[in-house]
Amino acid sequence: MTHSNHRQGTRENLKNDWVMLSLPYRGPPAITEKVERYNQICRRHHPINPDRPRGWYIWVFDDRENMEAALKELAEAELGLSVVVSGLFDEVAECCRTAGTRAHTVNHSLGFWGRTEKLPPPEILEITTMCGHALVASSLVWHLADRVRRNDVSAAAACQEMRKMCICDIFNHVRADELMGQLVEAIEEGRCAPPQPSPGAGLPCNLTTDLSGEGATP
Amino acid sequence: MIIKEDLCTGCLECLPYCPTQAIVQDAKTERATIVEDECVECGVCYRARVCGPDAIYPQDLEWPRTLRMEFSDPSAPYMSPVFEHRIISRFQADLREMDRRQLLDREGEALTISGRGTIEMKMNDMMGRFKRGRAGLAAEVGRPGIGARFRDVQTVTRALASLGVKFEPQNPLTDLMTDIQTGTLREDILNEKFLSCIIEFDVPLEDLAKVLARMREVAQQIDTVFAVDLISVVNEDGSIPTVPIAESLGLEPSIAGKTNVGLGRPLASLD
Repeated sequence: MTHSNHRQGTRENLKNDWVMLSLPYRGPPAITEKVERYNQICRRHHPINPDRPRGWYIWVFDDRENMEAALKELAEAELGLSVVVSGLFDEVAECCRTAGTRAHTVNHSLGFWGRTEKLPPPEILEITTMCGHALVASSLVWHLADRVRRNDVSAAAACQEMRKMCICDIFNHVRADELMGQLVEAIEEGRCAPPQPSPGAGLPCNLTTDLSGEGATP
Repeated sequence: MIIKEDLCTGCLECLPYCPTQAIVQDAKTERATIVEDECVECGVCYRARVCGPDAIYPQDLEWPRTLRMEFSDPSAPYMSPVFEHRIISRFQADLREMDRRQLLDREGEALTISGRGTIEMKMNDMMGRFKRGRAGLAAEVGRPGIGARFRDVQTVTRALASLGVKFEPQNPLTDLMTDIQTGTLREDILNEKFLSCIIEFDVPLEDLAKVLARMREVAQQIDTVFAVDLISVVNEDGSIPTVPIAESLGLEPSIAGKTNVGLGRPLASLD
């Protein structure tokens, strides 16, 4: 899984985006005990996806201080589990020093190559790439942002709807909410057209799904 | 996935949820329909619970269409016969016995997410898979969000194989090759579409520039995109040996990405 490796954005808007995971997440009792301790430590430091079942292993933080505190406590606990942190490299390296460890191995993204003209605009890509498995559709992000623009739904509700698609729950809905303003502005100014459907009979649609949890409106 | 025409009310609420925009409005019926050849069987439209009358239906899949689900739905178990040897636990075997709807309706499915790559650098402190003096590389064909077909993958694997690249045997893509030396895939899968397929390998640092240059060339010969990963062990002084090599080619390694923070024990040898 490299699903947290290609999160797009600027240094400024990536400062509130940290993903922490540990492997192995399954194994004999001695390992699962360690994973549970890892989870207890991460939960204590306010991840934005706290309501995960026991045995979960990926935590998202929207604040460096919380991530750093979790990392420090994990290092002190000497669990012996491998831990990976996704985020700004230089800041993660600083956090490692504070925690008394050091970056061991890194995985850089070298970007997207090939028919890049098929990619959505950067305002959408910064949101969709927070689900590395690409389950948050660029068309969904566009349509929800357009509804936010029309005051049909709140940005927070729109971002929670996006989050639901990401089954690993590493989609940072807090950051998405903060990115929503620039996307709404891009749509408003005509700089961001809706993604086109695949070959076949497709028409633009004007969607009104109720995001209150009551289900679809027919 | 299919949409039952008799149940669809034509509200079109499901259209934007599809990552590959394969759900469209039928020009005649004005109801939603799925372009079968574009659908990657990721299950997003079904899981979204956006269809009031429950018209979106996950049909059971047959080879080679099973590959679409396996390379698009991160919670899907290996179903294709070609991956039989990867069913290593009773839990996975049980999943395999479920029908498609049961699979998509599972609760707590996050525990089964394994992706379709390998653990790459996530346990490198303990496993030492990537050694000093080498660079790990991956081309994630179809990412982010465009999708791809195996014929695109084959274009890339053949180009890499011509340089003598050895593909990662633990990656399921290797099971789909008829000739690992040439990077040739099975003929019967080439049209299958999916969200992403990861080509993984590692090379000596002295070959990195050559391989990246070839990857850049072959990127112009495919009908999709791929995301490129570059893995390296960090030097004692904090420097990263792959970065200057990438920069010498005019590439810009990302400012954010994954760091294995070195807490695994016991530490593996990297030499």
